[in-house]
Amino acid sequence: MEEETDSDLELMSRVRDGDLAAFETLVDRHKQPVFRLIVGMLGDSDESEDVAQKVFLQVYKARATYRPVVRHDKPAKFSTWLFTIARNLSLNELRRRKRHPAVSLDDAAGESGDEPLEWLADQTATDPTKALLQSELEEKIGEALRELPINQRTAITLIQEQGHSYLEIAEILGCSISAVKSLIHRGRETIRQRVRPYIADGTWEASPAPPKKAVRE
Amino acid sequence: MNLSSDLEELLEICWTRDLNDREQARLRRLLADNPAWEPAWRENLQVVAGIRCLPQEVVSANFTERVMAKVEARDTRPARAESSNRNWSWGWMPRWGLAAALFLLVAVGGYVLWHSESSRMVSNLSDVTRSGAAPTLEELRHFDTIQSLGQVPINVDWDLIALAEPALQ
Repeated sequence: MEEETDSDLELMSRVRDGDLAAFETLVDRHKQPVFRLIVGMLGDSDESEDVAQKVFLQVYKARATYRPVVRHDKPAKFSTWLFTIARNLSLNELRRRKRHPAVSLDDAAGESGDEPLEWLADQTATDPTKALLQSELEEKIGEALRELPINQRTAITLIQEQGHSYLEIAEILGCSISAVKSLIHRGRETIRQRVRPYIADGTWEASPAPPKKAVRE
Repeated sequence: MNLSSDLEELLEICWTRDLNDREQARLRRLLADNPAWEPAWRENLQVVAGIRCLPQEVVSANFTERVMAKVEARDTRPARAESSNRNWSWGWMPRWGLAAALFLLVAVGGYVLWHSESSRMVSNLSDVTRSGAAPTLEELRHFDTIQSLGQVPINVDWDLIALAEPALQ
């Protein structure tokens, strides 16, 4: 991981000197995690790709002024800066949507009447019925995740998909480490409370708040 | 029910990977000592595992090519912008010329109008002085009456009348 970070910084230094191949390597290396973070925040893969493109263009534009923050004699990871840009552009996109709201036909569709789900402790179940129930539970968990306030959702996405440390997440979100821990804890608790009735007896109530509003919080 | 800090620590690890043997042994020990924690632990683990298993969105295959195309387009833009700046200044030349011509036209027209008006006034004045006899003293004294009628707001210049009186008599 450390080597890769160093390599990112080296690549960025070459990009600063006008090396387009180095920039292409950086894009290839980080496009997937950046895209997933943005999808996690925006919930729309088409627009997320546009925003992801803007993130890399922003990196290219800022190549001359990029200086990694040095902490404890070690430069901060390039990806921390990259994800900060991704988060800021995603927030801009959410603000734009707030100013120009678009009504999605999917928003009107509520979900109910799901099958009761037994407690599933075995994550590696091979039984097709169990696998189906597991995938339904994952679907509900995904829905509950999308309903979380944006900062909780982003923190969970960063720690789970990108494997960032609390310190890195704190830098990306612009808050303290304890605030990050609190965001992750509260997000996890909210999801747990949300899926608990579904696990117990298959009850799944439609989103308590309109999804778009929840996204903006 | 909130988990103990030890279990929270183990749960944090579960966000990114499965527990190793040592961590699993520690978990078993913790749950054996505090069986009341087990339901909460299992629920939390289910949530974390569920999030880890969520389907991953995959970026388009040509994403990098599209980004690079935009970067290259951006790099070639400054040269075009420079030439377009030059075009801009030349392109505005006829407009500046037209504006200057219009300004000149208005200025000359205004001057001609003012000049013709002045000439007409001078001409009228000379006609009046040539044809009209000088007013009598009595007529000049009637300025008061004329002013009181409110027809013409004239202030009588008594000093001038006093100076003119000997000549008029």
